[in-house]
Amino acid sequence: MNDHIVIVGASSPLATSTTQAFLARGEKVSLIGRSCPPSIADLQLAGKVVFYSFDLESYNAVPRLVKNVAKEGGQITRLCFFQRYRGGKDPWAGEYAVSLRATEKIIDEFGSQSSSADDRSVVIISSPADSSVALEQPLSYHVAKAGLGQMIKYYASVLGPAGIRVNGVRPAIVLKPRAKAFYDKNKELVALFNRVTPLGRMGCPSDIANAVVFLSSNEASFITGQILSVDGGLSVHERASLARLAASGFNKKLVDARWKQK
Amino acid sequence: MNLGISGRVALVTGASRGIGRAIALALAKEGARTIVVARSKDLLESVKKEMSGGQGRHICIPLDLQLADGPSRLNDILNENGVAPEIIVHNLGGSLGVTQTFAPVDDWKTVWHFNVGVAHELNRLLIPHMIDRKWGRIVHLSTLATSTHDGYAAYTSAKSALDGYVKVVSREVSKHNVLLNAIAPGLVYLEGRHYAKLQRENPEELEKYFDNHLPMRRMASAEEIATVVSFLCSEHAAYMSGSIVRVDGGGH
Repeated sequence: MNDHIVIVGASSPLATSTTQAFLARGEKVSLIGRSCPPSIADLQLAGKVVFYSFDLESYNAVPRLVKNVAKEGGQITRLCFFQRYRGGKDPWAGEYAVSLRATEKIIDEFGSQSSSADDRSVVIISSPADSSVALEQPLSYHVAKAGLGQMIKYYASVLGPAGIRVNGVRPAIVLKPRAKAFYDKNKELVALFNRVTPLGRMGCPSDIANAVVFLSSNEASFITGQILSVDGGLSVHERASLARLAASGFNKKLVDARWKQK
Repeated sequence: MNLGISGRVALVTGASRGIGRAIALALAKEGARTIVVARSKDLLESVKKEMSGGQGRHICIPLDLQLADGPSRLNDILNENGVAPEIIVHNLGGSLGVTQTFAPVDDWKTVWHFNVGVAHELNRLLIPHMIDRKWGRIVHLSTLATSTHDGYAAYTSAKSALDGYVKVVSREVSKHNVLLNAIAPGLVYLEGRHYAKLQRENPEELEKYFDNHLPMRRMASAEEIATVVSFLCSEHAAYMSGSIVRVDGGGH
């Protein structure tokens, strides 16, 4: 049986990339989002996906929408969450509604729908801000991502018996298409990212999409309640050490000497 | 031409039949999530059945917008469904059979409310969301009669007021990329209407009408009107604001 994947937060470039990855596997994809990015609009016109414009701030209306999506596109087998609050109003109220309550309502409705699938899954996009501080993001975002981390564990526990796995993907540095001009102008920053990331490059949307697709597949059938960092290894570094190395201009001799001593 | 409105939310009033129905189908075909409003649930459902691009995502709202609380109820239902229209086509309108020049005052008021008031109430409730998002397209349906001045007094004067409304309000909101325009259709072939009957029962008189008024010598189809409306709802109409676009086959 083919999967019917519902992607929430369609305007994220990671969502577009994930949609393409699922379509390449021949799966059926429906998307929910506040506004429809051109990439998804084109796929919809071509009849490859169905896009539901929906403002997740109205989270109480979500169950009806999810019922509708299932009625239209068939039994839902996978949920993937990419959304964050992007409105201009109170970010606390916004994150509470869009990141937390909407996710909760959608998962609850999904969990209550009957299914003949052996394996169903939920993947939530997290962020390093779920457990570390990223000062360029507001506090509300940190709290929302931390909350989603607990939601992943909680739902893994309560939905496990129903055959639903719940996991997260934690990207760090992803070069999104819309930020390309910025990075083109800031070559030094890119060089620094490349230097501090063990795999020597910034991530791209498909790196994240592949992880989401994996966790949403039968191949991940015994993985639940986990958040997978997909960051080229960036998070293995100890922060103070990174600061010292950066201050030394990544003195190659210093690093090489230690490395050779093991 | 890709109109660039795939995935946007469109609201069409008076969508169960005729031009409104054709507009709803055209917008759905362009990929818009289309919300149709009219009194008859059955007719709306039959429109929805013909819509492209995943019928389930389109929404039927059976509602009488002429009721005093009609527009606010529609707004509540939209909120309950989590949708905020980015495109509105105010197709609701008509003479309501008020043909007398000196019609009773209540009838006169009803016609004006039907053709101008309802649209204003909806705009008042829904345009703020468009301004928030810096994107909106609104199309009102006017009539050729506002330039030919041969129509029923209540209806034609209401539509003339609507033209003025479109011009004034468009000036206020265009800086937010919220664009108001109107179309003025000429003679449209609609089953059950006067000219459709004339074509069947008295083609000579229709020919006479063509001689005097309509060099193209045929009526428009609802789809031909819908095409122009879709264009005005599109990304391509980005520099049109406050226009009253005649779609009248060159008639007068």
